[in-house]
Amino acid sequence: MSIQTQLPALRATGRRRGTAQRGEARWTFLLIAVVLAILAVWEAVVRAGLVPEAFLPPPSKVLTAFLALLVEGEFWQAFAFSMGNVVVGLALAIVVGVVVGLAVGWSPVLRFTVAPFLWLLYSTPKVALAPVIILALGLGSESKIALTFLLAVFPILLNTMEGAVTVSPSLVRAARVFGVRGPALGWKVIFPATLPFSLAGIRRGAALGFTGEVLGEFLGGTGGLGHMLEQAAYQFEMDEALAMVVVMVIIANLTLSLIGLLQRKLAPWHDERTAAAS
Amino acid sequence: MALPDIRTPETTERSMTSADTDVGTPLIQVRDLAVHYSHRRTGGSLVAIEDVNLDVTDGEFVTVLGPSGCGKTTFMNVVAGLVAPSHGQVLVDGKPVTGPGPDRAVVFQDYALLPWRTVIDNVRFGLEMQPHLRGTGWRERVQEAIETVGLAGFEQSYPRELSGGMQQRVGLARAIVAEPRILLMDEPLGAVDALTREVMREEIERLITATGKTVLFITHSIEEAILLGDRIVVFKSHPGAVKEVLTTGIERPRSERSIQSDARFLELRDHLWEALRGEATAAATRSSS
Amino acid sequence: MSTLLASGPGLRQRGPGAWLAGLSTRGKAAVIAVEVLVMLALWQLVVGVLGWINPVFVPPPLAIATGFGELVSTGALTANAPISVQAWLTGFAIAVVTAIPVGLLMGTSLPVDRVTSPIAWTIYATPSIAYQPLAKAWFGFGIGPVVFLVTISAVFPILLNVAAGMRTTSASLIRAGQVYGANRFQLYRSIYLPSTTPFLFAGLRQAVVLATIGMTVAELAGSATGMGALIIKASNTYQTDQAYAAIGIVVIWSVGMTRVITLVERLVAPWTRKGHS
Repeated sequence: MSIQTQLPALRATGRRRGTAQRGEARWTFLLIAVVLAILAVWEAVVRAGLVPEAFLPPPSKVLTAFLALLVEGEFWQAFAFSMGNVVVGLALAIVVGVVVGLAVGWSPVLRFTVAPFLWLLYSTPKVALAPVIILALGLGSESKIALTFLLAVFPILLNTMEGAVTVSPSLVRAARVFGVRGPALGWKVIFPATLPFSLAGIRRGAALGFTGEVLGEFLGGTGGLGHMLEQAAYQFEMDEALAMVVVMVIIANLTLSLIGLLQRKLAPWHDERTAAAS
Repeated sequence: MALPDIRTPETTERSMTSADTDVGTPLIQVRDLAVHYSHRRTGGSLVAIEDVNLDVTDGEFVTVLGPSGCGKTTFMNVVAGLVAPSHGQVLVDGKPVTGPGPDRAVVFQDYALLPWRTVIDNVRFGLEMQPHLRGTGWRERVQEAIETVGLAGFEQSYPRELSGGMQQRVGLARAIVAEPRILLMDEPLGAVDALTREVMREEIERLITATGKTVLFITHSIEEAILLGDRIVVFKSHPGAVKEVLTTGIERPRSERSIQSDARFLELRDHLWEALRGEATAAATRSSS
Repeated sequence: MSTLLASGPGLRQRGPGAWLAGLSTRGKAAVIAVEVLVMLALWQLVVGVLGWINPVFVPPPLAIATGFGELVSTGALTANAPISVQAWLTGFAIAVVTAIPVGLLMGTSLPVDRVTSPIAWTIYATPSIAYQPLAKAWFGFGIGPVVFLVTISAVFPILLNVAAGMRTTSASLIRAGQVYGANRFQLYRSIYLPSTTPFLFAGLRQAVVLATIGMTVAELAGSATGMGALIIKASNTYQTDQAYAAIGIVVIWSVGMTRVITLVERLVAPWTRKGHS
């Protein structure tokens, strides 16, 4: 509920039926209108020569460059390279993060011995390790997968751990009362109770993993979307550079909505607000 | 069942104006009140309360009793000026209610204390928006209210440091600090533990009857309604409306203990129990069909 | 960190777990301190003495300490750290000054929220590294791209948290404000703003972490000066002990600034402190 509908207390009942849906459609329309207006102003400002085109190409040029990318083989090769690395790194991070997270969350001893270091590593800006990792693993896919993994694993791990720790003891007691024990306890109670937390961690991990991949490509190597973007900006082909940024915005947002969809599908019982509070 | 003192809504108005007070108009007049909520998703509308008529005289303690979801909170919100009626009106002192005002204070079920303020500042909140009370002397007023509700010594505590019962005492102090004529209490003891509830019922009974304030007290507890009320307004649900109005006619001061053996108390309790059970059964049938 | 002290689902009554759970807060801190020391000693032993891991990639603690000494004595630290600090603080300040008013406006006006929110989320969802080459092309090689990346990394968590804080203000507190006669302005001052404060600080803490990542990325990928540049130079010349020391300093900065935010929060909003009754 938004403030606008709460503030005027005496307005609540004056509303006529049907305004709700029409309201939603109106907001979408307004959003589209505003975005189009921004693009139009941008286009006009550049056309009028107020901003040099080499510096900030107009949206029409960016769109042309974007469409040109989509039919370019080189682009799809770069896409496959980057996404391949991200998927491998992220998959490793999910497996390690969830398994270690559950173990550490479940065992008080592990939580006490290992968790402080995990927290320390979690709060380290691990992007700073990128040069060392490239030094150790070279300029190929390995270093990029390692960076993706390293950046993605900690949010997944710590969120899972947080989830496993906060599984209500009364839930566990209830399960025991009904004869659930051993691995079944993990599978039927701990895992489902932790799943929403893990998914929230995966959401954050995916974004960070993508950062790792792109940073790896910036710092060394010859393939990938990050490399293409850097080259374009370096050669001052700003229309292609902006088109590449648009590509990354689309990839990032698609990935996040996909995970969001999974969250709703796999854990529809979960209340996002309680997870946000933790 | 024939209870001589039971008044139906139709007869209430007449009997009230002619009875104990003949000082003219009642303090609160509720006229043909209805509130409809429009449903967000479906666009349909929900009737929260309908055809509510009620007069409350100055100094009267009226309890509003009904099952949950019967619209009694909506009713109170209209009197408080937080919700606008869809039809009909509420008059306070002859003037229609158009919004909240300093003549009416509210005690909320969830306390609604500001978590970032200490007890003393929360109580002060009750008068800081009233220009004529903001000046000198507020400190004494606030302190007096705090002492009245028995919170002396906790002035500098934050709400989260207090138990539920104590938090509601803060809510009560905030309500009485500006000395409103009318106190609106929305199940103030609903979220308080059972033992504290009993103690606080008696305290409210003593406190309010001593100050002679006019009170609308919402509850779903039959005992509470009888213990506190001069009159009991029974609500029915779907749509929310006044089912009947009863006069308790039990001598004050009342206490939890003394009232248990009072014949009138037992008589009222049985009657209300039957009335509410009918409501609950009706609700259950409705939801299962 | 609170998870460390939580009881968890294990429900064990005996064993080391129960012993640890029974310790006082100070006892737990002591155990953790001992663990850290043991860990450092093991690390030194495995890498420095036994040589099981190539010390170039993971230099032992004592080497990192030496590396730190070298950073100080060669003047590399005094040459680079102030530049990073300047860029970080400038970028963060711009982010705070922009994000708070916009967030408040979003929380106040439904149309503004419905238009700004989707745009803000879209940009926020994209890792800020994607904007780095643009920043480099636009702002050149100086401090400019670093400031830009710090700002764009920090602005959205603050903005979105403030807007969320405004929108989730408890309806019953708003009712209480209205009942006791608050007008629109008073409602803002005494209800909306205080309930948004904890959200603001949560946003600021997230922003510190993201700003530090943004700064590091910008400096790694195209700055001649700053801590990131120092890390890159040290790594490329195989002086990884210095690189790790520099990373350590960045970590301390990040943790330190988070602490500062928390301290300011305690000062400004003491009621949010988890407390003893």
